[in-house]
Amino acid sequence: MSDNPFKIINPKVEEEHAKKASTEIPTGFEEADTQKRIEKIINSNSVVVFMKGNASFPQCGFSANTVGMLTQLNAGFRTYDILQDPELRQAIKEFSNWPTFPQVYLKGKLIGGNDIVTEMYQSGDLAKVLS
Amino acid sequence: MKITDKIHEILKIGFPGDQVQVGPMRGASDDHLEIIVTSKKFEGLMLLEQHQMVMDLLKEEFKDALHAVKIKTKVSV
Repeated sequence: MSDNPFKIINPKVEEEHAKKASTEIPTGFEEADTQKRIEKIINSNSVVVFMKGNASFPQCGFSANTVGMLTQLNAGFRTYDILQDPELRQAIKEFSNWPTFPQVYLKGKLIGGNDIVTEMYQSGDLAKVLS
Repeated sequence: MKITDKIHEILKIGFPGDQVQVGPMRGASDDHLEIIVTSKKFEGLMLLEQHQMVMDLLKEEFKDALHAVKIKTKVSV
């Protein structure tokens, strides 16, 4: 007789489950996992901004400028604060072949940093590609 | 060596014979620079690719003393 007659889950199964869950905790990403993670993030929304801080509290003037332009164009965008995630911060730089932030992705592709977004904003191209 | 000189030197090696201007960014600290590169190499490239060519040369500097750059690329005629 079991100590807990109401426990309908087989303890073996539960044990297995716990083991699986613990291996899923991201203690350090392998290269391939990081790549997958980045791809997942950049495809999670049509516009994704990797930045310092977030749209409400940008931690850098360049990031602030970029989200300001996107906001003004009423573009829906998702931000990702790289200051909260040093590992991702490094990985994104390599993935994008771009050493600074912000970085703006449109439909899974890098369109550029603040300078390029500003130039596109001024020329009207940004409004075009966002519509 | 001043950082502006160092960056200028690096870009001159990457863009031999091309016009390279490096200066401090107005109203910012010394680790913020403004860069203008005029090169034939940019011809036919997207703005992103043009900037990536410049950024690529500065990768190591970004790990060190350089914090931010404002880049302007022009295709020379």
